[in-house]
Amino acid sequence: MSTKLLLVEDNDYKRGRILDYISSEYPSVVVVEARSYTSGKEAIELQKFDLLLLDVSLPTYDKTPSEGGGRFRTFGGRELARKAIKAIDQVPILFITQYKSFSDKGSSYTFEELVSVLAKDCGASFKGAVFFDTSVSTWKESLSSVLDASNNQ
Amino acid sequence: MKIFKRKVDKSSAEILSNFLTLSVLDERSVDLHFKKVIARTPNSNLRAKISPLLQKSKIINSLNQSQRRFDTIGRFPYWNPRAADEKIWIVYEGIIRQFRGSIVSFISTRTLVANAMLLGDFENALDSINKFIELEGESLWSLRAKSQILVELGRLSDANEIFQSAHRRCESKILKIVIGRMQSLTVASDTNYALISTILPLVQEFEAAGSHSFAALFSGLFLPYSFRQNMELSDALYILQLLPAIDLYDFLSCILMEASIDEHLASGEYAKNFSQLIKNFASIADDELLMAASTSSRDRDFRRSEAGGRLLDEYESGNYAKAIKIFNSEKQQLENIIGYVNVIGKSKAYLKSIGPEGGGNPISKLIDFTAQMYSLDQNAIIADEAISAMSVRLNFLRKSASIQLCAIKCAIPSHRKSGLGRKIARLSKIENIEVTPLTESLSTEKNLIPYGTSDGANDRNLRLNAQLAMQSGDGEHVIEALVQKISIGHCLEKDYLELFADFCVKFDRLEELIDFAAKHLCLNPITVSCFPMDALVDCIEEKNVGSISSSIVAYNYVKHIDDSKDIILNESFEAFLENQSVRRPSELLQSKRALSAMEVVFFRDICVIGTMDCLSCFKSGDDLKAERIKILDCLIDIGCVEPGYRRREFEELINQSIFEAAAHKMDGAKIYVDEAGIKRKVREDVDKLLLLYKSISDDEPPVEELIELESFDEENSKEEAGEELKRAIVMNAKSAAAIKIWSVVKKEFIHDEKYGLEKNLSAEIRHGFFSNLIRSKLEERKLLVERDEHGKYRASLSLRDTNPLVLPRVWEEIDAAFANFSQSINSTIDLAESWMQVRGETGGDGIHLYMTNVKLAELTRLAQLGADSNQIIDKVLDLIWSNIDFALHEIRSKLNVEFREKIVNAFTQLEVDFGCAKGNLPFLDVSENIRIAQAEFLSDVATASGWFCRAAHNNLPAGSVDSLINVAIQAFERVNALGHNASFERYGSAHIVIQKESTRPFVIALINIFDNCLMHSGFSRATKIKIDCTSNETQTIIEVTNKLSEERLSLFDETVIAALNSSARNEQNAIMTRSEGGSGTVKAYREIVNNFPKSDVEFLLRQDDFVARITYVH
Repeated sequence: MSTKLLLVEDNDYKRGRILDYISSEYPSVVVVEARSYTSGKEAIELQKFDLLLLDVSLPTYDKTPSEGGGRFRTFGGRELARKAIKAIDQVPILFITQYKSFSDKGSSYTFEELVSVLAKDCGASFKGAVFFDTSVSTWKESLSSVLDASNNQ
Repeated sequence: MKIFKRKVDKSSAEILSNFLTLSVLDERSVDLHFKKVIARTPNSNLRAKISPLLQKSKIINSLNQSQRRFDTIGRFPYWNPRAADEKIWIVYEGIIRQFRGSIVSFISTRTLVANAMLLGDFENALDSINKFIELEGESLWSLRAKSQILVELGRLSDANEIFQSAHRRCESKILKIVIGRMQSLTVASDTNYALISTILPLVQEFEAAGSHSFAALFSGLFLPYSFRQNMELSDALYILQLLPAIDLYDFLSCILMEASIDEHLASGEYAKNFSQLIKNFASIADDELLMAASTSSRDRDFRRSEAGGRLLDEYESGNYAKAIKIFNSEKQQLENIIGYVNVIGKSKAYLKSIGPEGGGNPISKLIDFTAQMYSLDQNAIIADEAISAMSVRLNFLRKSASIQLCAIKCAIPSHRKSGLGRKIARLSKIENIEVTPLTESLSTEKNLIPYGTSDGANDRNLRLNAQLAMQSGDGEHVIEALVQKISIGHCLEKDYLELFADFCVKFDRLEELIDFAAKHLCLNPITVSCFPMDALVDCIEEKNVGSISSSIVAYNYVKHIDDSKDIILNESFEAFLENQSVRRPSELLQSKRALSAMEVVFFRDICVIGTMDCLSCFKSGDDLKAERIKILDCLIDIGCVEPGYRRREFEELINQSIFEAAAHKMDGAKIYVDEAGIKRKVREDVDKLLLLYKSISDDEPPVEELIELESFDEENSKEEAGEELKRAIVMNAKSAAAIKIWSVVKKEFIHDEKYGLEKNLSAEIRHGFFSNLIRSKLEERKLLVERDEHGKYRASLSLRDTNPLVLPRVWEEIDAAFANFSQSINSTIDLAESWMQVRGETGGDGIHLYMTNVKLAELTRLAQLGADSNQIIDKVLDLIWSNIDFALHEIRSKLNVEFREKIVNAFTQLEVDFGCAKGNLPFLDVSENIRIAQAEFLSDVATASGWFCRAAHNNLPAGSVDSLINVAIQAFERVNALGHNASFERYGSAHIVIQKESTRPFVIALINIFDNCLMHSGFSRATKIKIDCTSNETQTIIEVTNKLSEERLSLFDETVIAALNSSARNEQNAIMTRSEGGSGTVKAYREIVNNFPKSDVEFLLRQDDFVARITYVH
């Protein structure tokens, strides 16, 4: 049975790059796309996934010509992960972000600090947090290793 | 080397020891020789070496410690700054020995002043301090004490006068700052705010500049222990040389007392040294406090006065009136009067006799504050702050820990996790020889059985028996039976809640406690101090508890304790809705005719935008806002909120909706901030700060001053060594208040998550958006290659796929050309992104986007002209914008010139390199892609550059009356989830243009009138609203009409309409509209008449129609 992956990413370019890579390297993987915290959450509530690929910071709603996206959730991906872990047992989660640092409610977090929070929240489901930089191929390798592990299960 | 050192040392010591040689030395030579002795004598000999020297008047007089007037205090030079702490302590010990008489006099005066001040005998306290100054001269301590007494006596100008005199005469820069800060703190009407605004930023400034010694100095002088738990006061040791003997001793004894309660110093060599130091200093000055610090609690002979014993007996027996009587008549006999504050406060709470707020002396005030806290009175929050302020004001009396402990004893569960209660209790035990049972219990963290427990059957003993049973390990059912015997009617509610909480925690019945706590929290949020909130929230998270109770507990935790735990509130809230099988909270309200107190809190306070947006059922922000308005309307129907409450929120939602709609109509520009939202948020803080600013004397020059932190170091100057001096910008107190106004506005301007700049920058520009834009076309055209994990560029596989016949050697050169190009592009993008980062305090490459220079002179000029907070906020916003505009211009220039040029050069180089590499091979597609990509790049730079423009939508754009009516209709429909044009009929038109400054009030006025139609027509959401416009050269009339139901019509007559018009014109109602929401008609009237001169709004009854008529005079 093919792997079903949920990709939650608001940035069109980044989402496109990730989709391109998955479709070229893992054509059998079924990818469900979501562009905001709310649409990602709805997907988690309605469907079962074998793998979650989450951006860390997300708008609350899908941006459209008449919708600005609502509150910008610095840790929207973290909120989704906590929800997913309750909904889907042992679902692997990989975070993928372009942020080098995060600030929320007056506090700042480095990428490393964030990784440690995410790892604690997600427990065994946590499969890493990758810094997305299109000039470097590392993000692809991290994604591959999680997809390979998921396909082998 | 050793021989040389010994020789020199001997020489200096001999010179100073010899009467003849010493007598011919000038002041500077004495100083130099003394420094040499200190520097070059080993620690083991130092005490013996300097002791005889310090007995010589010529030597001791050359030190700052001998100075007794501000004219000379802090003027004498420092000795070796590189000396280790151990050496400094030895020298200080020697010096203090020489001032034994003055120190003894100081300690005795401090005790006299403390006793007199605490009991409100300020005249006596003033008398004592005046005598002390006459005898021992001036010092920072005496300045602080005298000025505080004068303030307590209401002699504010006298207090300011002595500060000004000291400031004028003092030559030391750093002590001038100390005096300035002391003045701002002493004369401020709001001590806590003065501390936060003028002292804490200064400490942070010194810390940021790397000057821990100055940070420690100001912390030790001004902050009670709880404000600076992690600050190492010993860092100030070296610069304490500036201080006269009294202040030096005061500071050193503070370091020693706090060291004695420091668990990190519990063992080891360092602890032994400290322990010895404490003993040495205690014996020099016969200081009871240091003696107490030098003795462990176990060995210490705590005394209980006879009166104190009787007082406690009566209290423990439930004879509260008698306990109060003993206190009032025999307070002079109590050795630790503050220690009994809680006992008396609680007795008053039992008797429900809370005294007049703020009346009486400090002890009476403390008793009233604690009584409020024990009674869970609504003023308890203010009481907590007031006790904190008192501990700051009376910090110089060495009673701060005991004062702080009064508040901690009232909220023990809140302090359990931090351990602060234990430390403060230990300090309090040093401050006082007479210790109450609760202080002892807190300091040891052992649940001691309260003093004097008897087996009597009074209500108090029932509770004590339950506590005793819990401590002795009785079974759950036994204890439960004991707890059940007690009810709130029998004892203080606070005691009962805490007892029940202890019981639940002990037997892991936390879910039961969540229900119990929620019930009390929604009736009285002050009870948050009675429950172990950390444990409850952990339980909610671990067990995924989803109930109305868990939502209320999590809500209170986020609101009162830690707002970063909002994720737990969201999860609990959502789990509750799931358990109720609903998707939207309003579904739960549909069938309700009445709500419980918990439900009111849930729907009114928890079902707000910031919590509900975690649910996936809302498709957009407008859908979410409509849900909130629906909930508010239901709450009004049920009678659970006032119309004014709903109106305030409604207006906020409308403002957000207009702002968001306008933000969408921007042409690429991404820099925008909702100034109206920022103003609403900061106004209260700015009001307070402006008050503080005006309360501070103008004595200090209102300019910033650059302090060279190490310029005191004469012999080993870093400057001489070619090192950079540490510097910190230090403001005077008045300037600091002005800066605080600036920073409050700036902080929200940048960081507010609804209205601020960061939100847009993060969501729209930074974090990859720029690099994605620039790289996307290049990647599409296959011109970029990737790096591997070692940073090495890979070969272009896509080119190989389409050109299979090319020789390997040629590929090598082509790969090198693309690797070189990719490297240039990546590094140039990195550079450009660094321009977009915020430049930190320490510099960096970023554009100076937020580090806006404070135009202090302009702010202070405005404040001195009597500007109100609105004008000040406008000015700050203008200044911030002008700085940001400049920064944006800088970014655009850099992108259009430097960035563009570097990338174009990279393209040119690629064309050259690729041309050479491919030789005569065609590669037409690649060459074409390079050419097209370059053209696309130029277009993308223009796009990115356009992002860095200020979007002109802060106010709605200028528009005709017609178009603005449409904007109002759309916004109203959106937030009410009304079908498009389902409720409105339009007649007539008006093309007159309203300028952008006035568009927002115009739209807000209309929306308020529309809302009034729905709220009062009697048809609710089925109301039809007719809008009729007529216009001539001089005026436009807009009539908004709605039908009234028979029931509503019966309530209206000409008298009611006249009252409505009169109410709109009433100034008092205008104030109420600002603070409490007011009515829609008043709001609409105010928006029009305040923003459109000569215009008017009138309300009429026309048959069965209600009409709002706006007359807009052109």
